[in-house]
Amino acid sequence: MTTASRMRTRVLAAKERLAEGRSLLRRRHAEGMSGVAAGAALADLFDSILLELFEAALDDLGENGPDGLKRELTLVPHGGYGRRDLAPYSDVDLMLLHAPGVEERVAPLAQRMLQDLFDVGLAPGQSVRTPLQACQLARKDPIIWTSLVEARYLAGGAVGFADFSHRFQKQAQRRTARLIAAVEKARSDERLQYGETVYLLQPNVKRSRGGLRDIQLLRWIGFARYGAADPATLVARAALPAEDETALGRAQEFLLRVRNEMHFHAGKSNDNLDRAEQLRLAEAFGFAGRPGLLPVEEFMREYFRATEAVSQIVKRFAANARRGPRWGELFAPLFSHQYEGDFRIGPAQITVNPRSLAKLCGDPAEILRLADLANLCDKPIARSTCEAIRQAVPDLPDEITPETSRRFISLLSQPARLGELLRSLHEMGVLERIIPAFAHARCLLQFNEYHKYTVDEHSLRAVEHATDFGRDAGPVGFVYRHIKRKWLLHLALLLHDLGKGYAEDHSEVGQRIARETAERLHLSKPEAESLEFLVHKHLLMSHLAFRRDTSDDQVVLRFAIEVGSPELMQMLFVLTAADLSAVGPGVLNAWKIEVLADLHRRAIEHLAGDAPAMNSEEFLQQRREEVLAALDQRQGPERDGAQREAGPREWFERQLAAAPPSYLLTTGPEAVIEDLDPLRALEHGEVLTSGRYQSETKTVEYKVAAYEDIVPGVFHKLAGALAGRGLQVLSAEIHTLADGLVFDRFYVLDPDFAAEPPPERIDEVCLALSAALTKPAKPTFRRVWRAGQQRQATLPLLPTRVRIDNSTSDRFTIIDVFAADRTGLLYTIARSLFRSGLSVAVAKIGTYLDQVVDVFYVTDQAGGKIVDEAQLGEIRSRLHDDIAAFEQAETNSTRSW
Amino acid sequence: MKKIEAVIRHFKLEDVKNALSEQGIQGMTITEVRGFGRQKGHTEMYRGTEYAVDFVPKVKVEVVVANGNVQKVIDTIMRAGQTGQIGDGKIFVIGLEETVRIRTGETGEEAI
Repeated sequence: MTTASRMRTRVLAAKERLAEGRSLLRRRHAEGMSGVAAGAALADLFDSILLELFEAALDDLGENGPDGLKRELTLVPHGGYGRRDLAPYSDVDLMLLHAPGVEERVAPLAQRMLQDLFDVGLAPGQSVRTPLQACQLARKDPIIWTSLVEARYLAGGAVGFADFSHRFQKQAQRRTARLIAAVEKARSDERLQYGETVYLLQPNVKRSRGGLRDIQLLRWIGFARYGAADPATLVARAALPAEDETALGRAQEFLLRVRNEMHFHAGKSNDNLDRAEQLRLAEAFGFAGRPGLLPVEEFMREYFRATEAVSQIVKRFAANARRGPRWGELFAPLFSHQYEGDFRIGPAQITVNPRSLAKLCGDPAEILRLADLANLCDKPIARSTCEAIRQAVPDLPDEITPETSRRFISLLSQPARLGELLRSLHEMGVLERIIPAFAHARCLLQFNEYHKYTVDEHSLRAVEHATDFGRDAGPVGFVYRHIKRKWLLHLALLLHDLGKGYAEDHSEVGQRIARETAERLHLSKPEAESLEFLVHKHLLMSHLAFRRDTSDDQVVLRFAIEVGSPELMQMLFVLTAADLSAVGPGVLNAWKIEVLADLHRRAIEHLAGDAPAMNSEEFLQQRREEVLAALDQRQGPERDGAQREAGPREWFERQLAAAPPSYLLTTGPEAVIEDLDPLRALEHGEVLTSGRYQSETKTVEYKVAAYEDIVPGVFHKLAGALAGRGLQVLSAEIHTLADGLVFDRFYVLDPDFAAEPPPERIDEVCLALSAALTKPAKPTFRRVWRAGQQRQATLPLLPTRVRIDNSTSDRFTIIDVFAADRTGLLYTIARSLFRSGLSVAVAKIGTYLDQVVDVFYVTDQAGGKIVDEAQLGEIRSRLHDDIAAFEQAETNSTRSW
Repeated sequence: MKKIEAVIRHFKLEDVKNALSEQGIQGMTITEVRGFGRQKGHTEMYRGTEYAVDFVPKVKVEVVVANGNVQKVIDTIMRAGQTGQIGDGKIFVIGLEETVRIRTGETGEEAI
């Protein structure tokens, strides 16, 4: 006997009806039938099959008479089947509700029904309970409770169902708060398992955040709190805003259609929207895409908009329902304090005084003031306040006032709760009123194997990861903590990927967005330029670090020149790391950090010498102690400990404390003593010089020491003297020590001598250096035609650039000058700085073939940083003018040859 | 069948990957690794101070090929991964007993 012939004819007929019904629905679905209607039609189909099987079973078991089970037993669909929003291959949740005392007669019927349902091809989830048992089980298990919320009457004795409903309602009223907590917990456990963020790129239609389950959650909470699960009834009971119900309905319709399509296609239950399904559905639903946006990306944007709407509405609804009698709010005034009249800072959250709410909702600056305050106090904004703002957002003025901009930047500069607050601002729709380009990124999917989040989520996460670096012990954390204008970095992170989803390269679009945003936020010109650079070049560093040979110094140098300032270099480093880590878990690993940090360290060396931020004070202290120990040892054998002269040690301590980190780090203890010891005897007005040939580098090192009061502009006069002797300065270090002692080192190439210059030549240069300080005169430069000296143009000659950085050092303004090298250039730059009234404390001259990268740490004559914008502008333009005039003069003189 | 393991400079990965694809190599496994060989964990001159870096970041590429393709793949990796400086890495060739494609159960060269 085959399986089929063993089945009863009525089961076979039902099986056929189910198949026919499903294929009819499949056709109608393909023709565009609504998801809700399809679910209801399926429930009707299942109902009719169940009724048929129920009648047959009663007949066969002789229970269909007047004394039969029909009065004692009720068929109760629940769960999704009870709700009538079935998907084609959903389970059929059925409860056989019976009066107490008839268990023995119910058992054979239940067995028969279960078997028939299986044979028909439905997936039954069947239970047999009395009303009391059902309520007791529901009390113990929130999953059973939620399923029974959806219970409805199908067939059999109506009295039993009424009994159950009454008990169930009563129970819910008594246990409202506990029930809400229990179902929310069950749901959050499930969400954790299936994806906590809305923007997980391969979501589960039912279980991920914002999925169908969250719509059900709203129904359950509604039942527990307001005695009704249906959103329309909840609107009538003023528990749900009407526009939320409309939005929820729209989202539900979309999600149900997606799920129906997935079930029909798979021919079985399937709720996982993986990449292959996404591609297929985008085509099935007729998404065409547009330039820069694939059809699948357009489809998924719709999908994420639906789930985001669901997630937000349900979150708000649950927050309102959770608040029972408002004891906390009644007592809140006792534990909270007023702030500036408008706000109230409580122990757990910040609220807005009712009278100030109208003012707040009409002015973006006020909203940001609230967010800024929340960030400073490290407390969240109350949900009710968020809700009021959300509703007011469409009426906000479009223009950004300077006050709004100031508030926004103030918010961005505090890392404490920044990520969370930006996320709230985004959810409330405020962020896109400040940065309009953010609207486009909302729910924008990046269809590749790499990104795990949508563009808006990625951007917010990038800011969060950056602020998390504040607690990071590694190199990224170290650099992040030293960045002064963190707001600029955070803003760049918010903007860096907003150019995605257009036909053009996203970095190019991003640059435009950065420019527009800078203008909108009234940023100064240098700030706007920095922001544009960071957004435009946000891929530069990772591209170089991972794809180019960074052991090649030319690559590093070119990178340093392109970035231009130590501050931007630090920002780009953190931005790159934060961007990578916001792509997905595990993308930024220790290996990548190492590669990036290596490039950063080598590049910033060109721009800042040793940026003070880069050296640990501990290490420097250790170095100082080593020098002092060496000093003690040197003096030890000569004199008895008791008679040891106190003078030198004290003098050395003072000089070492003032010596720049770069000097201490690069000079061994013995060498430091060799350098400094002769200086002890130096008198004011005297100059000490020495020169030494270094065979390994074929350069001559000249050292010059004097008190800075010897003549104004010590550095440029020395530079002039060297240029006047035709020497090429490859590198120079100026160190200003204690007591106004200046100690300079120059590393020069002597083009007149291929090998070691004779001692007379070195003496001649030393004399010239000395004379430059004691008998200053304007230097003249020799112009010598040298055979074989051709420009090795491995680097394109860049136009002269001057970058000023006031953020990297606490005590100094850093000026970076990039120019093409010529004899006398250093003198020209140094003199220009001198004429601008600047005092150069540390300088690092780097010559790389014919490209010069010079770094100067300067102060004004009073020893302070230069912060005045106008004065900085003058310094910059004087440098440009002086270098241009110098190059012009040189070109002319060359022509006259 | 042989497994070819190449430890290469990390920034040469793109080049090596593209070159292997052009040779019709369909799959490879990439691991970010650290190590040192003769490059001896380069001691860096950092403004005159020597910084000993124990391990250098490298990328390991693993490719499984039929015996007939071994030389071709080695040549390709050599060509694409070379800078001529110390630290270009090494290629190891390892004999392989069996390969199984999990989806279909195919074995041997069929499964490569």
